Amino acid sequence: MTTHDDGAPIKDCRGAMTKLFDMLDGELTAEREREVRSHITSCPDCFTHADFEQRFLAALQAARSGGGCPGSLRNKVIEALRAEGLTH
Amino acid sequence: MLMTAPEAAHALFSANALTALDDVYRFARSLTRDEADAEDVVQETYLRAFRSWQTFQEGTDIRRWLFTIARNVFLRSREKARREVTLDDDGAEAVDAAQASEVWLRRGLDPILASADLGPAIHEALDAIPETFRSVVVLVDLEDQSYEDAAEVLGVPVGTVRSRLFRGRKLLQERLIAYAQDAGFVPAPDRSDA
Ligand SMILES: [Zn+2]
Repeated sequence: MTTHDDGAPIKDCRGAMTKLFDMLDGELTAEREREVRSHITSCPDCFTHADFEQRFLAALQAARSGGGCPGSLRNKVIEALRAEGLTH
Repeated sequence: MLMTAPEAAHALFSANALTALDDVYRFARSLTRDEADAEDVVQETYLRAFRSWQTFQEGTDIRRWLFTIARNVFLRSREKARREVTLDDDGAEAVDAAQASEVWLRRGLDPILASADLGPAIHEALDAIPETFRSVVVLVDLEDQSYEDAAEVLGVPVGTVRSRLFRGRKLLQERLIAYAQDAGFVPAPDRSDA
């Protein structure tokens, strides 16, 4: 995915950090991702920051568990769909 | 036993659309911030989905399709059609604006990211940020949608997803720091040294 990649080389911290979320979200091309990773692994500041954002995103992802559709609503939805003609 | 065409379509609907109920409910809950309203949105979403099932393109992501319907239902359910907040599409600008507070955010959040169960705090924080940002964070971070999928659900360009995601995540982090302070995990930080 290169939709918002201006193609400029990653030459400093700002360049790397501008691409950080795209990288963590898996939105960069493999080549681009290698570039950003190589900066991050060689730069303590960016490494600390990338590590923090990654743990933050993991915490968000973990917050997804639970909070599913209540059983009563599931039944209501199926009932309403049957009334509309759902046969299976 | 052979099924008639409509029967087969119904079976497909049940097997696909109904299995996404948990996801659709969570998304509706995040949009409405209210359980009863979320239930209404879910019901209406499934009725519309069933009625237009023939428009669903097999092989495409069923959740993206249902999320799109759910968001339209939600938007129409609001009495006042609020104008969408238009945001700058340039993510780099957001990065600049936020860079100064990055260290402050990290120091404030690090202690709770490592230890506490953040689930309830995250949901509270999500409810507190504007819907424009909440939807995109929920779609991408909680429901695992790609930028492109989220763009389609929200009817905005990918660049807008990207910048809203950035702003939304930073807003969430700020909220979570407030939570961490209230809960006594971290002392109120001094912003001046960030
Ligand atoms: Zn760096």
